[in-house]
Amino acid sequence: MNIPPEIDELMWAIADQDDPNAVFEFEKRYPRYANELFRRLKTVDALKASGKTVPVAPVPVFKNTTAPKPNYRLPALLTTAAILAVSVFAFYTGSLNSKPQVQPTTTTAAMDQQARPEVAMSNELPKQPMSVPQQPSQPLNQPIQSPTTQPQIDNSGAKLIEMHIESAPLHAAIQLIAQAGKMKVTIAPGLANPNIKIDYDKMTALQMLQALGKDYAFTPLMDGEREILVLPTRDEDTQSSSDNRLN
Amino acid sequence: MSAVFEQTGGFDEDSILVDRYLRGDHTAFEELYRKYYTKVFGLSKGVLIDAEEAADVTQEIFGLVYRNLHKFNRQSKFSTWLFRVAVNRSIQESRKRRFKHKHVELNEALEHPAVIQTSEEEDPNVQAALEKLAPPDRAILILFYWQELSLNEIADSMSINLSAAKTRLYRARERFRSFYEVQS
Repeated sequence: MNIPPEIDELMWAIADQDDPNAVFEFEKRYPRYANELFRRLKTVDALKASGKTVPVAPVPVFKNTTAPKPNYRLPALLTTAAILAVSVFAFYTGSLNSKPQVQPTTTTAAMDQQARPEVAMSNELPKQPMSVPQQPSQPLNQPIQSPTTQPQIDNSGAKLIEMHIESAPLHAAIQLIAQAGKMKVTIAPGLANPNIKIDYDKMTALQMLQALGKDYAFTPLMDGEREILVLPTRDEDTQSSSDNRLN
Repeated sequence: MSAVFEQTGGFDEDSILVDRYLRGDHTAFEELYRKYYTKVFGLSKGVLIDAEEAADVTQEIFGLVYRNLHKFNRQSKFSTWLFRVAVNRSIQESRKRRFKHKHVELNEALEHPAVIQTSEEEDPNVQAALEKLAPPDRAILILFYWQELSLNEIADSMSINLSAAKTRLYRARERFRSFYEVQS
């Protein structure tokens, strides 16, 4: 089964988070991948459960064990003595046979060939998932007010920000919110992109997206410390209510 | 990574214990040892599979930390630095022992076929699948799923960048899944 990278990434994120709502929404939206998601959920569950069964031995007393140093002395002495002997021998034989020697010419091209460092194999990075958010199809009707940010911190350590937008496409607004909260956001395909207006004060980026998601039918999911996945919901009722808000 | 740690304003309470130890209070190291022993043992066992080997390596890891704590530069949290030492040492040891195990006598191998040691609750399919992975793959899965570190912390612990950590996790997961599904 050839799975698009963004769906692949989304499935792992959902499997890791183990959020029943996200699982339900995904299966509703992508029924052909439901079985694949189930397999990943099973794998992740088994892996997580295995960690909980690591036998916890009673903590032993700490012993500062230094590994015994191998005895290099004798071989090192012998080696040094051998090198000295060879050097002295070479010196004396060299001084006795002091003929002018022609310095061999080196072929610089050949030397370059040998000396060329090997190119390190770089880790092949997977292709980046399709860039979502897509470019807004509708131009901005009115200038977006610059988000004013105040360096306040909430209990979880995230910045509290303000966001006031007169009119902008939803995708662009989501990006702005994420940027203001110093987060990276990926919007799954299929999310509608109507023009919206928002007025949020002293909320974190995630809180804003959660509030916005209730109105515009999507769920923001944390995917790592600084990344958010936006997953659209396909509830007909939610969709129609969000349309009504535009009028 | 250290910038992220500084931005969120996270306070590393372990640095108090580190300071005390560096000023000569050795009981502070005992506290760190007791606090992190189980996690480090869990990580080592995940990489090395064998509990006895893991116990030995865990002692070595704390020995290394004990002798080199003055080199901890506070660019990251103490736990991240500790995990970095633990991951490196465990992977090193795993590679050494893998090499040793390959050279076991044939008749010895026939007399004592390898048995995966599991406790009653451990899933033997998970253990078997983990054993088939390379040590760095095991390490990253354990850090993510057992120790529940973030990708940033994992990147720090494995001395790689965030993008590389994501890639490695993705690949390790896929490899584990392929082995696990065959086993089960």
